[in-house]
Amino acid sequence: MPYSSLSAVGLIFRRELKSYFESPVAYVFLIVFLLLSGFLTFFASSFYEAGQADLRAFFFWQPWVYLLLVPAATMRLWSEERRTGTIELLLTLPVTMMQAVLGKFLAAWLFMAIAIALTSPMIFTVLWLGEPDIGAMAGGYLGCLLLAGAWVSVGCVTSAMTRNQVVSFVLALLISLFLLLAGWPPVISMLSRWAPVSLINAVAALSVAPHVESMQRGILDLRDPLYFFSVMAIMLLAAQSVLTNRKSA
Amino acid sequence: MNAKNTRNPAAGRFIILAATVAMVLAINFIARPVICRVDLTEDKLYTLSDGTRNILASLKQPVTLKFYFTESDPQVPVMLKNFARQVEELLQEYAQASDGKIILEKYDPEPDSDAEDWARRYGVSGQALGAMGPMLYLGLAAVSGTREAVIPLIDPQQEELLEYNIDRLIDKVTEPVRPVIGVLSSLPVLPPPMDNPWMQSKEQGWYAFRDLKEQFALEPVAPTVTNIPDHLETLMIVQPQDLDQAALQAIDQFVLRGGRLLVFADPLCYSAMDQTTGRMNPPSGPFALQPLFDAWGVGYDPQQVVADFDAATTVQSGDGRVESNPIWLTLQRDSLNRTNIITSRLGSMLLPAAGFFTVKPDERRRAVTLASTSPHSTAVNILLAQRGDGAAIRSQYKSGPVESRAVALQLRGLFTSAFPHASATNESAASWLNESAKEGVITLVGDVDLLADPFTVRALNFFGQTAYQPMNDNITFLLNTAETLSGNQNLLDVRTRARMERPFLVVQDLLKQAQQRFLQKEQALQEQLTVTEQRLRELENRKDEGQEFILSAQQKKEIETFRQQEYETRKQLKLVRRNLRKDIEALGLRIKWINVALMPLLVGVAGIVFWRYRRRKMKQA
Repeated sequence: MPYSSLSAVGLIFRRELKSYFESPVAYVFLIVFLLLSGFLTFFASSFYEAGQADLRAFFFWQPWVYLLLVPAATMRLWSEERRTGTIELLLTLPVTMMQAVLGKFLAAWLFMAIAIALTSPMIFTVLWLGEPDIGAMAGGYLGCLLLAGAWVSVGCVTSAMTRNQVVSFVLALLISLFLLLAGWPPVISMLSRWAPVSLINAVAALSVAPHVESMQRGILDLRDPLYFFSVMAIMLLAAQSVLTNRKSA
Repeated sequence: MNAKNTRNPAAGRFIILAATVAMVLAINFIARPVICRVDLTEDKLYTLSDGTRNILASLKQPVTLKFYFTESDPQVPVMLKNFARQVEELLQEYAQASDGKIILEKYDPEPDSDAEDWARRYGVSGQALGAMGPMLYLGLAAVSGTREAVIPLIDPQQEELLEYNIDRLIDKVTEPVRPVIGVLSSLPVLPPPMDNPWMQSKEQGWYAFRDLKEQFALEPVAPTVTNIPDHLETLMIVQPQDLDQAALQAIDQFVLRGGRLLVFADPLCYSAMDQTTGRMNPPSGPFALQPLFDAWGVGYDPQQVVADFDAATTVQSGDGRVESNPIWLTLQRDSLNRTNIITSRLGSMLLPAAGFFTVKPDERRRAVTLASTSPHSTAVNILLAQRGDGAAIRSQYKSGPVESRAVALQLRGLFTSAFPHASATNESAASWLNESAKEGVITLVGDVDLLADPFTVRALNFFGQTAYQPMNDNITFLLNTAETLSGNQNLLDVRTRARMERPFLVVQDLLKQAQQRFLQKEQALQEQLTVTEQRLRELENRKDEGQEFILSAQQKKEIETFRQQEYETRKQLKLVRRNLRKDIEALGLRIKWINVALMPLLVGVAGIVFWRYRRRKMKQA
C-alpha cells in the first residue's frame, strides 16, 4: 500500500465530510435537529419553568431526536454510491474496504458531533442561570456522542445493504428503535411467553437505555463506552462484509 | 486482508463477522461484573463517602449483608432491575472497601424456595406483581453475631439515601448499645404504648419520630416527672406545656448534670390546633420553660413569630390563590450555618410559623446560631400571623425593627440553676446543683411543626405500600441534631449527601427584587385604598337631620367619585401583582428564543453564505 492505513482512512474521511457540507441537505438537517431538540427541551419538558439547573430535560429527548435524524444523516453514505455505481471508482483508490467504511463512518460521526456541539447555547444558558453539576453535564454529553456514534454505525450497515435511501432510513430506524426499546416491558412481556429467561435477559442487556442513563447521571462506567464501541465494531464489520460481498457478486 | 478466499468468499466473511459478534458479546459479558467507575459528579454522589469508609474501618466484627432480589422473574420491570443492579454494585463497593469485614450474599427468592422463606423470616417484605403475579422482593438484611436488622423494601424513590440507610443498617447490628433519648411532649409525637397487643392502634405517631426510632431508643418522659433518670443522657422536649415546678426543677438539674437538651418550642403550632375551633388545644398560657430560659439567658416571646420576606414560601391560600407567605419560612443554604456539622450540608428547611431566640452573652458559654432569618425579617404578633393578614404583616415590616433573627441555636457551656433556693426544700438537697457540674448542651428550635408529617414528607404509593418521600431536610436536621448529641458521628457525614437542589439563582434573584418592589407599591396602594374606603363609609353614613334615607345630589356625586377611585386602586393593585412575574417570564422568553431559534438561524445563514460562495466559485471556474 502506497498510503498508510491512517491516511487512507483520512482521505475517505475528508472526501465524505466535504460532500456533507457541500449539500444543502446537511444544513437543513442541522436546522431541523436544533429546532427539534430545542423545542422538545423547552416546550415539551418545560425546561425553564422547571427551574432546575441541570440538563436532564435536554438529555432525555436526545435519544429520540437521534432516532429520527441519524438514519437520515447516514442513509446516503453508501446507498448513493451503490446506486450511481461509484463504489468501484472509490475502490480504485489505494484503500481497503475497511478503511473506506471507517472513513465514511468517522465523517458521519463527526457530522453528528458538530450537530451536538451546536446545542452549546444550552450549556451557557444553564451555567448563567444557576450552578449546574459540570461533571454530570460532561457525562451526559459524552453519552450523547457515543450513542450517536453507535447509531451512525447502524446507518452505515443499512445504507450498505441497499441502493434505496428510503429503505436504508427505515431499516436504520427500526434497528435503532429496537436497541432503544429492547428493555421495554411490552417487548419483554412479548418475549417472555416463549423465550427462556436467559434469552430475555440477553435481549434486555442489548438495550441502549441503561448505558445512556448512567452517563447522564455523571457516572463514567467502563462498561458503557464498551457497549457502544461493541455496537460500532459489530456494525462496521457487518458493513464491510456486506459491501465486499456485493462487490464480488 | 485482500487475500480472498477464492473458494467461498462470502462464507469466509460471514465467519469473521459471526466470530466478532461472539467475541464482542463475550467481552461485554465478562466485563459485566467488573466495576470500573469514575464518578464525574461534583458532589460525588455515586462513590462511598468518608463517613461510610470510617464506619467500615471501625468495624470490629464481620457483618453479612444478605441482598434479596427476585432477579429471575421476567415480569420484574426493567427499571427496577437496573436499580437493583446499582444497589448490588454499591454493596459490592462496601465489601471491597471493608477489607473483608463485610460479606455480601445475594439471594433470589423464587416462589417457594428456601431463599424466599429466609427473606420473609428476616423481614424482607414481598410485593405482589399484579393480581396473580409472583412476589417481588428487593430488600437487605444485615446479620452480625446474634444481631440482625433489615431494610424491608429498598425504595428507588429514595435512591440518594441508599448509602445512608445501608450505613444505618450496619450501625444497628454492630453498635453495642443503642443511645436512649427521652421525649417529653404535649403532642402525640410517639406512638402510644401497646397496652393491648391484640388491638392495632391507628395512632402511629409522627413519621419524623418513627425515623428517629430507627437509630435511637425513644423513651417517653411524662410531664409529671420529678427527676430525669440517669440513663437518659439526651432529653428532647417538644412543645412544652403545663409543666409543674417539680418537672422544671428536674429539667434544670438535668442540664446542670451535663445533660444534652433539645427543645422545640413554637408560638404558633399548627399541629396543636383543634381542627374545628382553630384554637390551640389546650389553650396556650405563659411559656412553660420561661423560668429556665431566664436562668439560661435566653430570650423568647411565645406571642411572636418571625416574618422573613427573603424566605417566604409559596403557598396556596384558602381561596385557591397562590401567594408568598413570609411567615412560613423556607430556609436555604444562606440561612443555615455552613460550618456547623448539623446544618452544613442541609439544602432547605421549612419552618411554618417559627419563633425566635435572643441570647444574653455570657462568658461561661458559647452560643452558635444554627438557622437564622435574612436581614429582611421582622417580628409579628401571632394573632396577626394566624389571621394570615398579608397587608398588616407588611405594614409591621415597614414600621418595626428589621433584622436577622435566630430560629435555631445551640448553647454549650456552664449554666446556673433557675431554682437556687430549692436545695432548702428539696429532699435530695445534698445532690442539688446550683451551678453546672459538667458542660451542658442546649439546642433550641423555634418551631414544632417542622417535625410534623404534613411539613416533612409526602406519602406515595409504591407497589401497594406507602413510601414516604421527604420534601425537605427537616427530618435530616432532627436526625443530625440527635446524632451530634448522642449517636454515631460518622452517620452525619453520610446522611446529608442527598441530591442537592440546583435552582435557577438568577430567577430567584429576580423574584426577590420584584417582590420588594411589589412590597413598596402594594403598601402605598393599600393605604390609599383604606383611606378611600373610609371616606366612602363616612359619606354614606353622614346624613343631615331630616334627610333620613335620601342623599343629596352632591353626596351622591362624592360617593361616586370615591367609588371610582376605589375601583382604580384595586385595578392597580392587581396589575402590580401580575407584574411580579413579568420580568421572569420575559427572561424565559429571551432564553427560549436564543436556545431554540438562534442556532438554527445561524446555521441557515452560514448555509446560504457558503452556498453563494460556492456558486461564485463555480461561475469563475
